[in-house]
Amino acid sequence: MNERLLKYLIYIAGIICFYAFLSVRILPMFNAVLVENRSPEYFEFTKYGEQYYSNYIKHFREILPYPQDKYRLSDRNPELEDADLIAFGDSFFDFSRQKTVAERLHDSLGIAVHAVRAWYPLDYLHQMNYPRGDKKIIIFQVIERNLHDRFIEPHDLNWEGNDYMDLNQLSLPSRIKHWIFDVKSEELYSILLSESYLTRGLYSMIATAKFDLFSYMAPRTPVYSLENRFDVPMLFYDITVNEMPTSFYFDHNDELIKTYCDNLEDLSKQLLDRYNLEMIFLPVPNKYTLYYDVVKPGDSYNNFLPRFYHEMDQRKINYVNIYDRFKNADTLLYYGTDSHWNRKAVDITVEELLKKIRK
Amino acid sequence: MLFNSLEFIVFFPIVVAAYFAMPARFRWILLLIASYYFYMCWNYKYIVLIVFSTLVDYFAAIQMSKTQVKARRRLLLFISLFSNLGLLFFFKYFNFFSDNVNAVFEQFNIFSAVPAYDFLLPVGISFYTFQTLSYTIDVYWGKKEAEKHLGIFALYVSFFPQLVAGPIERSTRLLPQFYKTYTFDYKRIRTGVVLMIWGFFKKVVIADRLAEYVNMVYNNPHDYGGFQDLIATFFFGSQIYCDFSGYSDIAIGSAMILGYDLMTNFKRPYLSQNIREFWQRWHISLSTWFRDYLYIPLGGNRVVKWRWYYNLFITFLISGLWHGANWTFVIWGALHGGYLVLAILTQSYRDKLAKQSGLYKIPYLNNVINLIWTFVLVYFAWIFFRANSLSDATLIIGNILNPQTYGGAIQLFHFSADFYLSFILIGVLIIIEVLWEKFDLIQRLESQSRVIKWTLMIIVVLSIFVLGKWDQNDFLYFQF
Repeated sequence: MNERLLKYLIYIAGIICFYAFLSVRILPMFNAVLVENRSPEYFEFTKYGEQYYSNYIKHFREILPYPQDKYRLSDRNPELEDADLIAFGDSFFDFSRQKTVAERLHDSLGIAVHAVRAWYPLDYLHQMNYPRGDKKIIIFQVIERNLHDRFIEPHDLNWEGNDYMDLNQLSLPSRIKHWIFDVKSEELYSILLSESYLTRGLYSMIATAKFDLFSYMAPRTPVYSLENRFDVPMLFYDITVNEMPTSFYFDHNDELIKTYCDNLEDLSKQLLDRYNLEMIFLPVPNKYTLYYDVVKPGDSYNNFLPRFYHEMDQRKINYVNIYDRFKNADTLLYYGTDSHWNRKAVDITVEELLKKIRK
Repeated sequence: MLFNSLEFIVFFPIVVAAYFAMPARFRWILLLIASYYFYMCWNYKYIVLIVFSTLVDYFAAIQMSKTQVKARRRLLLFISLFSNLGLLFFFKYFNFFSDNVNAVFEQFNIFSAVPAYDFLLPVGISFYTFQTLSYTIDVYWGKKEAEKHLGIFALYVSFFPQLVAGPIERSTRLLPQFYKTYTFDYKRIRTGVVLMIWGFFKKVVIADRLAEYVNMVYNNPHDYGGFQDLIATFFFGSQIYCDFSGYSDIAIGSAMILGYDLMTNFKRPYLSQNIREFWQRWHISLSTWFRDYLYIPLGGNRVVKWRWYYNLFITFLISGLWHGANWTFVIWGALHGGYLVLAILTQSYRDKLAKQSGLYKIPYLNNVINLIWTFVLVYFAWIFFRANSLSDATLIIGNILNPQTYGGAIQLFHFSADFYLSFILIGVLIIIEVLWEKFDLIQRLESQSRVIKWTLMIIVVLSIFVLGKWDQNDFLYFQF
């Protein structure tokens, strides 16, 4: 009896695991067993803030507003050549939990605003064969944690950051090899374990127990706060609190800031010379920069952004300072368990951008 | 593929289910494909090295079996030794060799005399080359018939449970097992599962927890004092044991589920009464390999005394080098060789001392003293094994021996619930090891009622999930 039961159990386990093996390679099979479907922009459709999904501890569940239809993907987003203004930025500019900056600018100014989600404007414009035409404005938004990466080297037309792999261009053996060995299976199995109908509840229960018993937190979100003046659980990404150039604690010395500004100034000049585009630069503060005192009241900010602003002032680089208004705001401007900003932050940003554009 | 990865947790049930579902005569094909896949998940290109090693040894042995001409047999053995040790030297030791040669040349203002190469050390190369070497040597000695079936031989070289970190099997034990037909055996599978669970517990609950403290101290030895060094060294001794014996348990357990019997690799080594016994209990598959293929061919103890000491010392020196291309490992090996030679030289004095002091009359106390003394010697040698360099090792030893570095430094240590839990877990491990020494715990567990068995199993499995560190830490022996 025991032997037969064990045999069936092994066969069932084998079938389940074989399904898992295939599903990390075939997206529809993968999504079929997940509570929340995965797609390239998955985190903009989740129920809770993205940082909750790094640890699954139930104390950090914060229900986010239901996502809006994306302006960038809608018919209202004009073709690049037809646009009066280009809103170029990362996930902050494209975050769908509220109306995006591009949509708000479009509504406020009544002009054609082309929204782009990418990192390197010269590369994008080059790839899109954008011709030099009438003078237009391009708003270039970058989150503080990425400033080092974006500006430690000069921008050019062939930035390797946008080097996407097209599987269809690979030979058949290479495709098979890719399908079998190059899949990020460990990461995807981990998603299956934490997100599938079969295991999500148990996974969250164990993660919560580990946190309650041993304060064990996932390495991705090592710094957190459960009780604070905002009455919202808060999580912070490791890259904003470690020793890397992305972090609050990294020493961005004056030499580095000068290098960033050299490259930023060069980018601004190239945009103008090549494409007749006037750049408005928009650095967005990290969540930790604004709320570090919630978790580490004894720490102090090395004033990276104010020093960056100062250097840009010296060089007359056109930028928008939202840090000062964000810092003095008395309400929370970012979601507690998501690294992105909320509607109030977008309100302030749009106000400041409108002031700058109308000048 | 790591045992403590989700990839393995998905891979293994697929292999087991398919294995028992298919006709016995095709199982070797499944296992061979699974083994190659297992290895290629780490780096698919390096499978070429395993295939090369397999082909060289297969054909060398076949040719050897066809001739009785000694010179030709010796030539074929040489080809096998040269190919396998050449691979090992090139991938594992070349840069070490080049660094040291260059350091010597630099004294004469000659720079970069020997180039260095930047390549990845193939995982498990020290294990599979030794396993396949033992086969050709056995065929050369006439202890084993040459294996005619290339597929079975390829499986012997690459059998996934023990491919990357042993136990290093002998052809005389493992090869015949691939010809047997294993039926589904409930008891055997249950024992295999229990062993695997115990291995996972040791790896992810104990070893990886201790690793955090050990790495913190050993990677920054200048930031810590003697107290932290002492604790980190104590932790490391437990970490490496749980890490490596945990791996072996998972390997033996997974092979057992499929029907194969791998050799025991660890027998509670920290309960040894002396260093000789320690090596009969620690990494048994490697120490017996060195005994059979190096120490005994050198003459073993059937030679004049000085030569015997030399044989012992050189065997351990090479064993140290086998563990890694760094002087720290060489010193570690030399220390163990030195311990053994000293133990032989001082045997009569120590016996006399024990008799005169009356210790012989209190065997329990005598055993405890021997156990502690062996423990101290082994842990002292671990400092060299774990330190990143010889200068780090001497700094750590200096700190431990200097009480002045203890003061105030305690505050620097990170005392968390996890830290205290580490001590509790080591305590639990010691209790289990002592009990296991007295009787076979798995047998004893199986004789208990179903309620007790399942309760214990659920507790262990739950602790693996709740207390385990699942952040993908490599097994320490992967680097060897």
